[in-house]
Amino acid sequence: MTDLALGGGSLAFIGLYLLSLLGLGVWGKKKRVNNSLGDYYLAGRNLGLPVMLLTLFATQYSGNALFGFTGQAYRAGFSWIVIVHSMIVVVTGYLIFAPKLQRLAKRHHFVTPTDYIKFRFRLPRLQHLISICLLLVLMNYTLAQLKVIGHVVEGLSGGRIDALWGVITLALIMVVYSTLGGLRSVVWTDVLQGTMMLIGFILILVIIGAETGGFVETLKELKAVAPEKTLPPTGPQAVTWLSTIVLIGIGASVYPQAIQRIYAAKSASVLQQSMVGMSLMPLFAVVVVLTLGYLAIVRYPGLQGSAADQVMALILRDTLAFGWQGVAIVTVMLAAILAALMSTADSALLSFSSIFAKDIYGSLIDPSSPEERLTRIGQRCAWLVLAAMVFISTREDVTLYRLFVLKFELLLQVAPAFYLGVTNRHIAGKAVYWGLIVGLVVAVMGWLLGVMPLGLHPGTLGLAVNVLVIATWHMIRGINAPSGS
Amino acid sequence: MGDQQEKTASQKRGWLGGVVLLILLSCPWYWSAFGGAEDQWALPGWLLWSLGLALAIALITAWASLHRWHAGDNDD
Repeated sequence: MTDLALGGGSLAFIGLYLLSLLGLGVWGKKKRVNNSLGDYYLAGRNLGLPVMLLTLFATQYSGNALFGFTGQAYRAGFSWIVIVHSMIVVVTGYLIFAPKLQRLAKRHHFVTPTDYIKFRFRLPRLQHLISICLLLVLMNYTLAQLKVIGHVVEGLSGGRIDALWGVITLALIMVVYSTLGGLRSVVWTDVLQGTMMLIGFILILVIIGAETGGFVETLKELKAVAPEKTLPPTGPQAVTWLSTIVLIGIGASVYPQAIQRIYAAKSASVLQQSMVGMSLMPLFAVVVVLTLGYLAIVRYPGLQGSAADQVMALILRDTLAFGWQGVAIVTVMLAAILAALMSTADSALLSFSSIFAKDIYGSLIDPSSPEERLTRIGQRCAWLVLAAMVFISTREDVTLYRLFVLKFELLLQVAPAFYLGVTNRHIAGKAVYWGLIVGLVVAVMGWLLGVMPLGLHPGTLGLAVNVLVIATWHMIRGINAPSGS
Repeated sequence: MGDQQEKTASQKRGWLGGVVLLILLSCPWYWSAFGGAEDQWALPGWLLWSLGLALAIALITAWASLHRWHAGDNDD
């Protein structure tokens, strides 16, 4: 990341913020009622409205939102506005299955997303395959956040702190507060982090105001510097537009960590009201981030590939020139960026440990384990996985957007199990299983080959084939008697 | 299926169909019909059209999320 060496006051502010996260970890531990999986991984299923809204926000808007979205806005221009539609459609997707899923989760004590699959389809091989897909997605997610954390810390310290040590320190803080208080600590850190992010988004507007002669002037300059970036998508690009909405809209609605927050809602009305906030959020949060990317096209022309992911850092560097106000803005923004990264990584890590403990260890390795033991296994798993991800994060070189897309390619194939499972009582597990396998093959092959037939993402194509297999299976084998609910 | 359940199912289909239609309309297949790349209030016409539809999708989704039928009381 671009050198953003800050003074002692700024570093002390960020240090205090990080210490407060540890404090929330200790608080979460004190509030734990018992060592059950429901209490540790779902905060006792008692999340109220403000907490629910902010934790969904902090979880859904990750480091990708601040670095990846800005970078992609820089690369693609106005056509990347499709991310606004996509993030709204995530909430549309939730409405299709989440309210009923929340009710079922309360009644049947689900802890992991796979618990629903087990309850609904009663097909162990489907349940295990979905668990593996979700674990891979969560590893990808954690890895992407750690990679950016390394860049941020290195830039923040002006290169005095190595990226690896930055990642190790922040990963340790995350794993300590997650281990201490489970989801209870994580959601309260999300509240703090979500608030910081909202302040950060408002500060972005301040930066835009301070650095430009106004939005209209910036647009005029943008058209002069890069007129091709103001043009609408044409031909296959328009297909890609729709494919992006499907990919992100449906894919992000089945984030395992988001599904667990749905389980953890205090009531159906809390969940519904949170959805209202989440459906309107992209119109503010995403639009301001994209505007920053468009400003960067004018300010820093010529950045190629993954270099465009650094535009946020470049803008922050220049903001430092605005005296103490600039330093204050950059300090809060950097804390917000760390917040965005950590809130997503900690949620993914907690979700990973719950799926491993309950769906892999508790189902395949030692089914007789009591819940207290599974909770401990999950905690140890979080430490091991994080250590492995820290190691890998220093060795990979993939742009943020590519990691972002790979995650959705897999998630999209899992989506029919939830969408169709909840809304259609006749869908059979075997059909979903074979649909998932074929969808995964198409999506992963397409991703490996780097092809987008007809402008469709491999994941979207995989989803189409996946649903086609499910429909064909039912046409050949007939409709089953209703199962699950 | 009782009258109430039928009404609920119909409301769900209507809402979802409306959102899908708006998503399809927001795709810039036919951008030239709505101002194209020409500026309208400082932004290209196609972009304003698409953002306007994003707003409509967000408002309809927010409205739908407050409706009781999403809690699934009648759809077991």
